[in-house]
This record gives sequence, C-alpha cells and structure tokens, in this order.
Amino acid sequence: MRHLNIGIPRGLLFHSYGEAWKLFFRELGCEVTVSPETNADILKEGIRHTVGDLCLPVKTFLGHAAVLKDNIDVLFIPRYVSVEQESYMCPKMIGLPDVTRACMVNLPPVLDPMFHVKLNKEQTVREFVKPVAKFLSLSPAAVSAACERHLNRHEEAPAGQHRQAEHPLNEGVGRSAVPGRMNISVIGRPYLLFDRHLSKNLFHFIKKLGANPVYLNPDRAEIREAMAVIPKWVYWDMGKEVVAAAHMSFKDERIDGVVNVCSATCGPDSFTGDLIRKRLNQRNKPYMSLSLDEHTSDVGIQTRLEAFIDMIAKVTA
Amino acid sequence: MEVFLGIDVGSVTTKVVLIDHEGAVLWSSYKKTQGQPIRALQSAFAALRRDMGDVEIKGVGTTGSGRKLADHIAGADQVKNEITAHAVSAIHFIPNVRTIVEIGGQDSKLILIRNRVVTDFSMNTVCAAGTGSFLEHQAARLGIGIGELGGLALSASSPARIAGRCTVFAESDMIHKQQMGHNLEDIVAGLCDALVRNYLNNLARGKEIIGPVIFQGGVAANPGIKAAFERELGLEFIVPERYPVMGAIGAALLARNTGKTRFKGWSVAEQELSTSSFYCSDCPNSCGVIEINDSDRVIARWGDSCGKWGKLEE
Repeated sequence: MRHLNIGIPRGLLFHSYGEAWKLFFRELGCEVTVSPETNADILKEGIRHTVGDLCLPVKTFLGHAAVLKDNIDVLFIPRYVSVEQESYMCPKMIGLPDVTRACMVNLPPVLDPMFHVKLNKEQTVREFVKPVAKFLSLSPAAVSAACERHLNRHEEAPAGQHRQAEHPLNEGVGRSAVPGRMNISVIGRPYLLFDRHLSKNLFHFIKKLGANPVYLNPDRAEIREAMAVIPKWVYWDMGKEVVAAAHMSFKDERIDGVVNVCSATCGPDSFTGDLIRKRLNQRNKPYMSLSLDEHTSDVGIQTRLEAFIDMIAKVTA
Repeated sequence: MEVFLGIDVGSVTTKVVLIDHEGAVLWSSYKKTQGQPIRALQSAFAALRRDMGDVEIKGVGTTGSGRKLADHIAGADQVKNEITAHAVSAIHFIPNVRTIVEIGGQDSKLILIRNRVVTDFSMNTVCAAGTGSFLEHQAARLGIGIGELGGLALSASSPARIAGRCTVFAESDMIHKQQMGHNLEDIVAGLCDALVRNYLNNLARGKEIIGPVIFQGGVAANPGIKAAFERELGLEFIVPERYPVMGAIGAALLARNTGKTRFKGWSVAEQELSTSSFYCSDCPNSCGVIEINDSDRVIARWGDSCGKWGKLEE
C-alpha cells in the first residue's frame, strides 16, 4: 500500500515545531514532504496568493503551500491556538488553515487539527488527535501515543527544536556569547530568524562583519524570570520568548548589543518591541529593531547592521 | 599636499568632496544622480580635475546606498555606512554635537551622540514620506521651485494642518486645503510641519533629542523645515556650512588613515562605463546580478548571494 504523503509548508510554526511534526507523522506510517527553503520564487507565489494586509511570514507560508499543493495527498496546517495556558498565538496563526483556504484554489484536503492548551494535557491531546485519527483511519490511541511522544512537550521547552544541535539552520549560530568577541544577540520569532531568505541571511552577515551572532533560546524558567521583571505577563506565545531572550541578552555582561528582528506589520511584535525598549533595557545596552517586509533590500539591512556594529566598536575618524 | 576623496552616492544626489589631512574641504560637488550614478560620478571627477588639476589622492572613502558601486568605479579604501559617515563628519565640525538630524532624498536618519561616540540611531524604513523627494514632489505640484519652499513657509501666518503620514494622503489633503481657500504660504508651512511630524513619529519615538542638534542632508537647505523642527522641539537646529556633503566628508575623513590607496586614478572619468544586469537562473533565488562594463570588458560584478559571479576571471 502506498503511504499517504503529508505536505508541510516550511513557514511559520514549522520553524519551531516542524521536526516534531515530521517524527509524529512518520511514526504513524506516513510519508512527509516539506517544501524547500524559502527563495524568491516561493515568496513571489505567496504574494500572488495573498491579500495586501497579511504579514510577510503569512505570505511566505502561502507560497510554501502553493509549491507543495500539487504533489502531496494532504496539506498539514495545524491550528495552534496556544501552547501554554494564559497565552495565545497571534490570530493570523490561529486562523491559518482558514486563511490558506480563503486565499488559494484547488487545494488538496487540509488537515487542521487544533492545538490548544486548555485545562489539562489529556484534553489538549484528545482535541488534536481526533481529526488526525479520523483522516488517517487510525485508532485514537495510537495517534495519542505519537502525539504525547513528539508534540505535547511544550512545557519542557517552548520551541524545542532550536535546542537541538542538529537543527539544519543552526549552522554557525552561537548559543552563548564567546569571550573576547563582539557578541550580538539576535532575538525574534524563529520563522523570521531561521528563514534565511526573509532574514537576508543576517547571521551570516553579522559574522562577515567580524562579530559573533548569538541566538538565545530561553527555557520555561528563564521566561518566568523575565515575566517577573515586566509589569504584566505577556499574552502572546512566542512574543514571550522574544521578551525573555531580550531580558537574558540585556542581563548577560558578555552580550554587546541586541538586534530585534521583526516583521513590519506584526501586531504582537509592536507591543513586545515597546516593552523591550522601555522596560527591559535599563542599562541602555545598544539595541536596534530591524523590521522586515517584502520591499526590504539587503542593502537596508546591511547598512543598519554595519552602523550598529560600528556604534558598538565606537568607530571614529 | 595630502588629499583625500569622499564619495557619497545617494538615491537622489551624488556628492564628491576633496579634503586635506586636517579635514578642511578643498572642493565639493553636489549633483542630482538622475538614476545614473556612474555618469554622475564620472562628471564629478571630470569637474574636480578641471578645477583642481591632477591632485594625488592618498585615500578614498565611499558611503551612501551606492557605496559599493562607487567602490567598484573609483577603488575605495573605506566603504562605510551612512550613519557612521555622517556621525564622523558632524563630530569633526561640532565636537560637542549630541543629536544629528539628517534628511536626504529618499531616507532620513536620527543619530544620537554622547561624548563623541554614536550611542543610538534610527533610519526610516520603506516609507519616503518624510524625505526630500516628498517635498520636491509637492513643490512641483504647487508649481514652485524647491528653493522657494522654505521662504514661503516662513512667511505663513497660520500653517494649514496637513497629514504627513503618507504622501498620498498629504497630497489629497493639500488639494482639499487649496480648495477650501487656504493660501499657498499656509499650505507650504503645513507641509513642513507634516514632514517634521512624520520624521519625529517614525524616527524619534522614545529617543532623547538634546542639543546641540546638527541638521544636515539636502533638506537642511529648507529654512521652513528647520523652523518647524525648532518650533516642535524647542531646540536650536544648527545647519553646518557643508550640510549637503557631510556624508561624503565623513567618508573622506575615515579614509585618512589608510596605507596605500586603492584609488584607480582619474582615468575612470573617461572610461566608457556601462552597466547591465541579469537574473541568475542557477538556483531558485534568482539573484539580480549587476555588471559594470568598460567597453566590452566586465570590470565588476555583484548582487549574487552565493558570490560565484562576484569572482571575475582575469
């Protein structure tokens, strides 16, 4: 029997949970096809399919769905509502299966189980498992077991796969500051940072300028610590991680500067960006917010990074 | 005498300066790029040579969004971002400067300086609503020269309230104000206020602007904008004598401490240079690759993210 081919767009939450999704479906006997890394053609496809006021990462996601859709049996677009109690994903993420259906025609079936941490673990799993078991004609028990093993682990690590050394996009990005180097902490959502095309390969560019790019990935305890410093619990999943990464970066003596990468029209980032600037940077460490959109040129990003690094190095004539 | 060349290829204008080792400006030129940066650069070189003779260049610095292009054409010892270049020249002329407001043709910058080092900066992003192009476009629409704009604004008695958030909105707002019967002076003054509000909203949010403030870049020529800033912030804006070429001066100052220069010589002014471009089809990134050709010989190539076109076979 031919295995069912599950298509996963390489966008948005794929950069946080994609490795776990792959393991989950393989355990259930499926084949998994992931779209290639974002390139100019994929982005163009995405822009062609979207309405104007969607953000760059959603546009990119739709481009990935577009290049996948004709070569797979089913598109996997999970509806992530929350991965932790008292927090929520951005509405565009919650509505992602609907947005995709609304923007594109001739889609294969879309498998969109909901991941929503409500009262207890069992409930979360049950809700996620039901549509998957039905679609794959498997027993809920078998799917539950795979879900428990691979997906329902958010309490341990918020975006677990970035802690794994084998993550393909980790290449050359430090996890901590290196003594004696200029260490630049890069904070932001994984789907921007680890998409080399969207982020204009900025990790690489920082290295080319002679500095050491660092990506800190806070764990639960570190997130809690950061939340205690600010006046109010951050409501956004992922936004919370960015705030915590900022807090750790400002606190760490070895970090020389912090670059916050965000998408130009991101609602949650506009809140967290202000919070970071006003409440967390008490010691006035060099901090810069870099906002990306589809018009952003490499030159614009490079000029800002060069200037930022010159500023830290105190370049004078 | 040791002289240094500074080149600032911006989106709208091309600036070239010649300075001595102390940073005194011996010659400068400020010309519209008109979408042809190579020709603009060549004609500036020709003019410099005509005025100054065959001076021996000891160092070359380039800056501006076309700094790489300028490097390929002229051969630069320092290829610097605009923030650093502007800061270096402002500090050179006014050592106790603490804020630099720079508004050019298509972008604007705010640079904070404390104790002679840059401590923070911001640049406008994709929107050019608060820049020189915006003013120029609106002046043309009102049928007045860009040079008259500032004087008119100063003579206004009651500036009209104009939305400055977006060029398109500002334009329809201006038409509306004209039709309501506001006079030209008040509309022009309102336009200056709108640009200043736009600048402060986009760049200055959360930043501490304290004097001395230096106002540089092409838009500093406009006394209406200067007055609007001063009114809005309650601070004096100092416009340095060389305000339109400060970036180029900064690039030249930075090039003073280089050893043997990479300057290609004045002959570049006479070369038949042309550019061409193509989209590489070897991978889905489809990078746009730019080539500079001297007759039919490719002398520089860039734009590819993998770097394989950048290496030229000799």
